[in-house]
Amino acid sequence: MKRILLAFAALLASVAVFGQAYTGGVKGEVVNRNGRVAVEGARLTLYQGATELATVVTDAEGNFLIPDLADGMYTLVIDAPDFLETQVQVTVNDGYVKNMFKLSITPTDRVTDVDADSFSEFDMDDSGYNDNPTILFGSNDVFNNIAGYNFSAVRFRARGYASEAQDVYLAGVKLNDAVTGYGPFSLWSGLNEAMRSKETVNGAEVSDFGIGGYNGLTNVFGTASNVRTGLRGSVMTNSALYRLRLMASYATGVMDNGWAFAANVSARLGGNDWIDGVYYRSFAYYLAADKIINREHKLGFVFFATPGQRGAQMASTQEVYDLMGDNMYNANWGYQNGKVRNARVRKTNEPIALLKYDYTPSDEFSASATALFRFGKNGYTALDWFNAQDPRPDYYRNLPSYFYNPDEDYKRLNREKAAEAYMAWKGQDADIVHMNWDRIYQVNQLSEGGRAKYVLQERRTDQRDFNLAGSFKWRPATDLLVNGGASVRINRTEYYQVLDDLLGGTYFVDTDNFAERDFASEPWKYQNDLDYWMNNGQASRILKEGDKYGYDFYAHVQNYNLWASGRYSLGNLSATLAGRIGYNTFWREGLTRKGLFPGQPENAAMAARWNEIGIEPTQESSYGKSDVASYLTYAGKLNVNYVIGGHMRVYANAGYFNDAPHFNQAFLSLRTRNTMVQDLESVKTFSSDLNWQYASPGINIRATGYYTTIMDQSKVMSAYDDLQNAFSNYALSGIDERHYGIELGFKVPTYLVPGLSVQGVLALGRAEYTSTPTMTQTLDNSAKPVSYNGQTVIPVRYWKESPVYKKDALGNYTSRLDHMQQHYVPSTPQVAASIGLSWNYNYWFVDADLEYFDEAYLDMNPLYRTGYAAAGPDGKIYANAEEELTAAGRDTETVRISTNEVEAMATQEKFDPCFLLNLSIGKSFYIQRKYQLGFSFNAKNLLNNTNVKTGGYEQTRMVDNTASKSRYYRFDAKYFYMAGMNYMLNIYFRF
Amino acid sequence: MKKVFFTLATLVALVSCKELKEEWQPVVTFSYDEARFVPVNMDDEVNTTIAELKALYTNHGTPVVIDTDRTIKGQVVSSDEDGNVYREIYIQDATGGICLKLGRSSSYDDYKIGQVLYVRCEDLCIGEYGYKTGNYGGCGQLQLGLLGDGWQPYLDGETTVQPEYETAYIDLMPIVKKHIFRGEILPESERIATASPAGSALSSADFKDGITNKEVGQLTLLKNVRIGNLDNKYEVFALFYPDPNLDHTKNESWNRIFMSDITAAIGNPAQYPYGITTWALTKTRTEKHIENGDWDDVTMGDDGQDENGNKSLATRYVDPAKFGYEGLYKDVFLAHSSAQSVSHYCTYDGAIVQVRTSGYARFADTELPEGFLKGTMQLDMLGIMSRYQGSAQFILLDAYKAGTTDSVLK
Repeated sequence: MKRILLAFAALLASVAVFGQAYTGGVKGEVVNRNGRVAVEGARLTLYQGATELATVVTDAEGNFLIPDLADGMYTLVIDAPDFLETQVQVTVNDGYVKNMFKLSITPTDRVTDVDADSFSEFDMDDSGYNDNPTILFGSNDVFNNIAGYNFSAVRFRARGYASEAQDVYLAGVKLNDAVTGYGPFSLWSGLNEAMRSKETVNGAEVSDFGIGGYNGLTNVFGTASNVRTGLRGSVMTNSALYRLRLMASYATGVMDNGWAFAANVSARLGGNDWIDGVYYRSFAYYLAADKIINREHKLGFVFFATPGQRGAQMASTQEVYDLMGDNMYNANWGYQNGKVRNARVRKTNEPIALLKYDYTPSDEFSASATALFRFGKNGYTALDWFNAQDPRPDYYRNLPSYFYNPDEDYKRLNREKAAEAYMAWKGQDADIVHMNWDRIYQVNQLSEGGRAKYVLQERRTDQRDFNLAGSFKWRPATDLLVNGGASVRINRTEYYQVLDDLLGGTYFVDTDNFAERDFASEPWKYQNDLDYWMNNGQASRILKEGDKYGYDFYAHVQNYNLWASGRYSLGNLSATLAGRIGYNTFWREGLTRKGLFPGQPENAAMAARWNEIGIEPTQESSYGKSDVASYLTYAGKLNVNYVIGGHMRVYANAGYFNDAPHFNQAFLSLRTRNTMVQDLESVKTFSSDLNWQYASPGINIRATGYYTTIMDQSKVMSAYDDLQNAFSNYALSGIDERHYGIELGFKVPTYLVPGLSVQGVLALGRAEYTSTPTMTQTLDNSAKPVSYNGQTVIPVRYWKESPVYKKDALGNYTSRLDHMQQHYVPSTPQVAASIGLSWNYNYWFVDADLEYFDEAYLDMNPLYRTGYAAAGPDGKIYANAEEELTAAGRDTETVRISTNEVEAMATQEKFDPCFLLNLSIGKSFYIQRKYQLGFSFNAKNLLNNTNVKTGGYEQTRMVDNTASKSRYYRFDAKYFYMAGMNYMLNIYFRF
Repeated sequence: MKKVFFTLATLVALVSCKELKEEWQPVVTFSYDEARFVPVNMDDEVNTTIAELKALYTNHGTPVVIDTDRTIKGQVVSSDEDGNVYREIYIQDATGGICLKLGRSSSYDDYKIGQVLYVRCEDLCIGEYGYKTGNYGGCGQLQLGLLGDGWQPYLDGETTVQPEYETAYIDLMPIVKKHIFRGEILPESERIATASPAGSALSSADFKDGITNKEVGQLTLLKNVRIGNLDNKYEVFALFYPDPNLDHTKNESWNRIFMSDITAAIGNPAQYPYGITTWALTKTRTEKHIENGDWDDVTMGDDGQDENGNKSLATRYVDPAKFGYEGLYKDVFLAHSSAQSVSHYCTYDGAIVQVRTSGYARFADTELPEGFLKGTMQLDMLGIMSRYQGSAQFILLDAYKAGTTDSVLK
């Protein structure tokens, strides 16, 4: 293909300069500035003065050659669909072919700063709910280009995969969080210029940086010489997230002395139009230097961080949103002496330092190695209280529904109180509908001796993350390319709490609130730090802010990986085979001894002391090192690629992955003890996709079909359990999923108006649960797992599907099964479509897109899907309920056991479909061919649809003690909504 | 210059916008001012004493919704800090005390002992809790709260089923704000003195049947209390519903267990009924008793047996479908175990007093002092005198070795 194109280019050039014979010329590679990937089909026109001399088109790898040029000065104009026209001056000397190397051109699409920055900080309140969307980069893929920007507002996840399945590398180092697997984008939020250059592969494709997983791989280059040369600045305001962003960058490019320097700073400040209490006070800085020592050796050093804080949004129930008349209501904030204060604030300062070495001894072989260290702090504030009322304004006991429900079975009969609550909320009494900081301070001030009843805690997860990764690229023959590498990761993350604010109190005592209630006469049991209590005769009094209290433990995670891939080309056919093998290990190390789980005494003296006090050793321990979980992991991938003609290719990927579970899903109750989830399995994934792609000037189409199965996942979530009156942890094992569907992305010219294209995407998929997992519930203040009907490991029988029963003519449920309703992977639309027009002309761009989203589902909690919950306290299960009752001689009319119980408890909620309309407009101005000034304006959700649910979760608690005593009811679910009509205006300049 | 002025004016206009100004507050505010508590004084508004208020309640079973402008003033005399007064506070003036059904947990954070409270009573309700007719019955105690759940439909004739409780918790903050106002916290010297009624007052006819009896609802110090009933025998009372989610009044007769026993004469703590030697039973203590088999012989239900003829907790039930698994009744008890209240019968100045303690009290698991159990030690008990079915029921706030201030609860 390359040869054909080059020959074609040469032919065109030779025709253009027919009759002349010079040895000089121009050659190079045209690349996209976003991602620096090759641009195929770019048209290069060479002028001398006003005379057009030649026109060539780049090949599939972006290469071009214009031969037979006489010495002299030329102007080369590069034009490509979807890119800004670019002009460069070329001088041909001494009859040589001038190598321009990489000529980067800028996409004309909107400023698609889709990164972690683009999503508000959601407060999940220990729900276990994970709301991280997949971040798609659209640099060289028509689907991602459109979906990455347009679908971000609904938190779209490509193919329904969890975001942690997307591998994200920085300078060749895989940087997904060691403990959770989450994408690391927030580490460089606000450093858009520095981190702009990146390379992305989709799905199960193989990358040069690692074999990747099944949800794509993105490598952010991140080093100085990859930052766009020159001085750039931008001022951005938007109405959905933060009011103001100021950003500046400067990069020297590679200078004659071999050095390249780059810097990027930014500030993101203010609130927004939609979510009160959410604000940014975030800064970012980036400093980098590269030194090209010689052709073989290159060193790069990078240091960056994004210190700052941002207020979080809390999900609420629909009742609360309706009372407030606002689906963007945020319960996290309130007035303190008249000033807005948010209780949930993410505070981060996690610097990253990396050193990268590139070795290029020949054109056939190159290698690189990167050492990267992440450190600093990552905190999250939250209110903590001891023997005090729940201060959250939307606590369920503050709402009308707690007092009155027309269904008498709820035993909520007080209409008067419900009316009072309703009036208070509708009246928007600030003391009622927002966090009442003034009361909190007054309680602390009036507390005897100044003991704080409320404090602001900061939950810290401070990482010390060391990574070493090396890779090589070797082309032993023209048709064979071999990549390989190795990586080591040693991570120690400390989980602990510190006192952030005493809120007017004088001190706070380090004890376990729940345990103190249950074991008041055994004071050692409610000590968070038993050793301190024994040594000092009392619990620690946290006197100043910044002091540790509560829990404190290390997560140790170590990964070792080797990988290799080989690509063999035979004519239009190429095949890549890749494999990875690794050893992953992790363990917990408790740094404080919790009174409830002291473990075994370490020596005879300790044993004697415990015996003296009455402390009973426990099998489970909060202190010291847990068992070590070790996993041999492996993965294999096969890619086959076939090029048809000049513009079309068909390729297929298949992969099998055996991955270790993440640390945060491996322990029953991380904050209290070392006990692991039983029978924790590695996660097995099989993934395959088949793709068809067509790319020619102005036309870009990709169609993909995919099929993936994921087996043996585990998950731990936490919540307060009203039935047990304690903080509970639900460990779920054996979650299997199946994902399949099609993706289509296209952009084609209309041929009616110059520069006007039709573009669209369609994601039509199914991501569904396919197994019946098991659940183990533990309480933070008990060693015994919770028993349901005598069992502690119970099947979550309605996890993958739940029964739907037939109704009679009057609409009443019968006991005849109609069908089983499938349950789906939540929090992303499984049907997403966009159709729009894109017009690019003379540095203007205008995009208008209409989008449709459907088949999005609410995250499920496992408790509602147990037979126990669905059956109700009478223990009757759903099947053949009527027959059972009759056999038992019971009155089927009066005993409230009916098939609708299981439906009401186990059904998964589906969100309503929605339409959205977006508009983008922008213009660049070139001033003296030297400076560029431009703007982009994006208006999203022009239909001002404020009823679009983007996610949420079910509360893991049930309404019990009903009048009939035959069934439980759900608590209302909590939701997040998308902002209504919002805009972003970015004004930028480049020198 | 004009441009500069215009720009500045625009900026000023922007930051003057309330919403825009507010969104920048957390961005630029590095410390917050603290709001201080400011007590109110509504003495001019007070027009009713607590005794006058209680006197409005005249007929058992008929809660009284106050429909006139009445404001009372009282001092807080109880605290729920130790967990033995649950979601209620007692306020008292010179004429008597009353239970205020506040309904909010940890109310001692907001309402301090010795703090003056003003209560605007209009639209609140006075009702009675614990009344029972007949020879073995008597008055309960009066409570100030909202009209009980379901009463309005009953009074409106929408239903003929009389609701169980005459008053409901005020609990909802908007209603609390409308009715209850916090005044100053009085120094010790200005606080209401504890009452120490004679034993005869607690066994009098007025105590049993007088709705507005003054002793009820007051902060009281009972001196020289001894364990045991008037016959000098150990006596205890507790009522359990092993599975709180199952019926206990109709179909599931087994699901109600009275631990009401009178055993040997005072002297040997080992003979204390059911092995209960703590003030009450936390969940942990309850489980220990069940696991130790202390209650295996306890009979179930009103008639001492379930529908299958089983009589005690240690028997195996024959209907596994009932619970989804097979086992002993005590397994059901254990599966749903929770904290349990206990009443110890004590004698004060010749009168019998039930000292009732919640299983959620912080001293629930504290052992009764050995000397007290043996009958060789007496205690001074500080608490609220309440009444249930005509009998004195004492809500313990603290207890001391008689004649001292040495607490046996802390």
